[in-house]
Amino acid sequence: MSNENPIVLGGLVPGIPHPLLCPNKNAGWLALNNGFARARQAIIDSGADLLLLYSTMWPSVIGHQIQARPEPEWVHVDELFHGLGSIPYKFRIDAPFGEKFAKAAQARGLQARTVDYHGFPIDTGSVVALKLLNPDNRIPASIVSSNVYSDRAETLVLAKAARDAMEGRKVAVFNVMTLSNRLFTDWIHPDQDRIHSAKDEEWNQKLLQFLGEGRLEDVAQLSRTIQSSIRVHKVVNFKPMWFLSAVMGQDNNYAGTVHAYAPLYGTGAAVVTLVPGNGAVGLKEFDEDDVEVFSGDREVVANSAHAPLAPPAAETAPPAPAKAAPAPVASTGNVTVNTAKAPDPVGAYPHARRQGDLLFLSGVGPRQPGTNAIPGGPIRDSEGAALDYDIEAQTQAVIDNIRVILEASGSSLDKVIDVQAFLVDMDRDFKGYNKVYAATFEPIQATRTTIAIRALPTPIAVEFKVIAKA
Amino acid sequence: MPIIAGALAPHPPHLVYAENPPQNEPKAECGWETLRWGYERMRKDILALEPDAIVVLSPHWQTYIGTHFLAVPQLKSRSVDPVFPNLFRYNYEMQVDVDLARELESAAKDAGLVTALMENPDFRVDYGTIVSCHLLNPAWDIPIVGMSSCRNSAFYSIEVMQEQALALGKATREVLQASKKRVVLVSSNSLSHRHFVRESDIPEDMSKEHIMHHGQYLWDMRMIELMKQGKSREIVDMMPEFTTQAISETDAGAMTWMLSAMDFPTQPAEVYAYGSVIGTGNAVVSWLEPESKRKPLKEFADSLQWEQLGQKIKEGTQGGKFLEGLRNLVDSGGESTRSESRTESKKTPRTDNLPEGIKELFDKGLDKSLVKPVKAALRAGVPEKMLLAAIKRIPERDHSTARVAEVIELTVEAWQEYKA
Repeated sequence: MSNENPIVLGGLVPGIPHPLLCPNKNAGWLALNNGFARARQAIIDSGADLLLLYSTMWPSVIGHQIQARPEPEWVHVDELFHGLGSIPYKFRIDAPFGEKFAKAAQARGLQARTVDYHGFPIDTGSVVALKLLNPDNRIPASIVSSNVYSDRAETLVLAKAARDAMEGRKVAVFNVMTLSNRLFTDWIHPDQDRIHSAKDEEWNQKLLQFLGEGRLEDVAQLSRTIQSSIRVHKVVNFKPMWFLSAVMGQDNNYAGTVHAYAPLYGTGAAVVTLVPGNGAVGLKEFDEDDVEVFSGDREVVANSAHAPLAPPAAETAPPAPAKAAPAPVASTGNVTVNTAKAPDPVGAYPHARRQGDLLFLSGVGPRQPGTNAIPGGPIRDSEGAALDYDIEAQTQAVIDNIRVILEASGSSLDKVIDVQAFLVDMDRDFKGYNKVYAATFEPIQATRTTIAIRALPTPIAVEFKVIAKA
Repeated sequence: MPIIAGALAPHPPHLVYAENPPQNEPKAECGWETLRWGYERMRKDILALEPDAIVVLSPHWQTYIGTHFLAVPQLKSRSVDPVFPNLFRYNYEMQVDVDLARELESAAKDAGLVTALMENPDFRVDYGTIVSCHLLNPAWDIPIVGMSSCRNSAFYSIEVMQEQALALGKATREVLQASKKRVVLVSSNSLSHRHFVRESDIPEDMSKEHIMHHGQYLWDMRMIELMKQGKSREIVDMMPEFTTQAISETDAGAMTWMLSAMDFPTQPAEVYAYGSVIGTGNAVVSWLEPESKRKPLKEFADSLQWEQLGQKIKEGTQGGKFLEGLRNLVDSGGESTRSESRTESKKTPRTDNLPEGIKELFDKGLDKSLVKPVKAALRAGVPEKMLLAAIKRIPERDHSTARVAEVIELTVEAWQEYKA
């Protein structure tokens, strides 16, 4: 693949239809319409030969879907704002790019497919964006869905697959999204439109400040916070900024322009463009793993707080079966837990496993996630020669890793019931280990056993095995 | 009783795909037979009640501002499932009972709910409505009232959804209690609703089909057991917890609305089928008009005021032996048989869904214009054997279409007098 950046422009636009269908009814809606016009000019100025949309208003369940009908044609009506009128359209879609994108996604381990069907319901957001950003089909477009269950890893990999497919192209990529997404739940007069709450407004302003400064990756890294703070939870997580940042190169070096920002039926609607550049705020600062290939079965139910619990016992027992049968065993979520925030296992085992109300953690050492660095230093070098090391630092790192795994499992340190500690040099290390242990565990009062062993699989001096309440 | 039945009618497009109806473009080899055969049985039971309208609330018409009602008399388009377009590309044509839709919308608004009428003729009906309605009535010859799902569970909480759906159900009930229309209510949703995120190469490969999670299965069984016990109120009470724990599609409010509109039926529901579709749990269930509200013929015989009824019918038939025939008929007891499902358009009067004896009369030349009054009489509850006997006893010399119509009318009157 060429090293030249295929992305010549990025941005975000809202998908709610008022700026298209009735811009003159509200000054903010008109400002958004004008913002679309400026974004349209920015696309022209960028020299883009493809417009890629990631639409948060096109949900998918089976992986991601990519539009690949060369000239989809329909008269669209929004399911909510149908009273605003119909939107006839005929778009120019880059079907070969869609196919290439889907194949690239599959090559990176994702489920993806193209859709090429007459009458496929292109979502309102994509229709609005294409009508306003590319009204005369000047350049071909591509649209990709947003999977309702996908989280950061899949979204990043999807973006990288899009980039794989862009070789030799000049691409303008836009998210179809709002910032805060809480609509009014009653009909309002256009004059009454405002951001739904002061809290949403404050968050929107902060995001616009970041975007105006070109700090796209910073916004991406705030995605989980944004989801919990200003998003109505229609999907598992807020993911468009993960996509946009990853497809554009995961950094903060953009010239950002906020062309318009206005309330749109209570939501925070913005038209923003980002031109790749140098010398802006700074480079990326990952707080989570970068991901190139998607390799895991998501098992969203099993690994999340959404894991269904068994129903409570029936008040009235159902009739007994003719033959005695074992009573159904209540499922309390017998599942495994792995987290990228803890060091990779050195064998075929998960970080933790839940059985009933208990969590069983695999042995946890002090290695750091991602780097495998050992706080306090390794106990021997690569030749096997002994090194001095800091048992207190290693012990603290073990406890920190345990905390991360417990929290990823929905538990916490204060729920630890039993600890088995393994030391490779009891005489040298017990005192330091015991001191650090007490600082955390004294108030918890977990039972504990400390065992001297000959060696651990990596050059570390201490490892804990923990049982906790789930 | 204007609400003649409620139906839990889930809408996986896979079921239509596997059935291979002419309206759907993709073709399947097989699939999800347990659910489809269950649907066939429910369809037969519900269509036999000769509904005047089907009112359906679908989770896939998602409105974030209130509940919306389809209000365009005829809607014709192509429904393509946005999630499974490989399985569902369906050409539909439906009649909408706009008068009823307006009444329901108005009542909901009066009850303090946020509402809207959908009057845009270009509107495409959501695939949930299309799938449920196809599976209930593939002939599409009964008008529909389509209702949207107000997404309170997303914007506020499941408890708010419950309150809104209960109020919507009450408003629906009040409209239908005052209506002469015989209406079927449809809650178009799965129970547990967690999908697999990958699809088999052959979507109808049943070796790949199973429930997503055992906990969801247990929850589904709990709810179905309550349905079978007629414990609607318990179902509604448990709905928030069920919806959360089983990630159920009841978050749309459809089932709460339906049970509320039916005033929380206490008769055991008829469970026709349960099965998974791409990991989700689906039950096909009906709440038919309870048997307790139907007057058994034996009771009819015991309480009948023979002379009064007989005189009425004698006047109509001018036959001397009718009363005796009627007594024999009633003494023999017998249930009214249900008509077969509809497969043709209403444009030409259909007789194939009439009870056999009456159908025979039409086959032998009885004027087809009488189909409508005959069906009306059956809908009014006149036992078919009574109706048949009344028509057969009209003397040859007096056997005009007008006379038969008159006899049918008199028979209905006699029946209603008895019931009163």
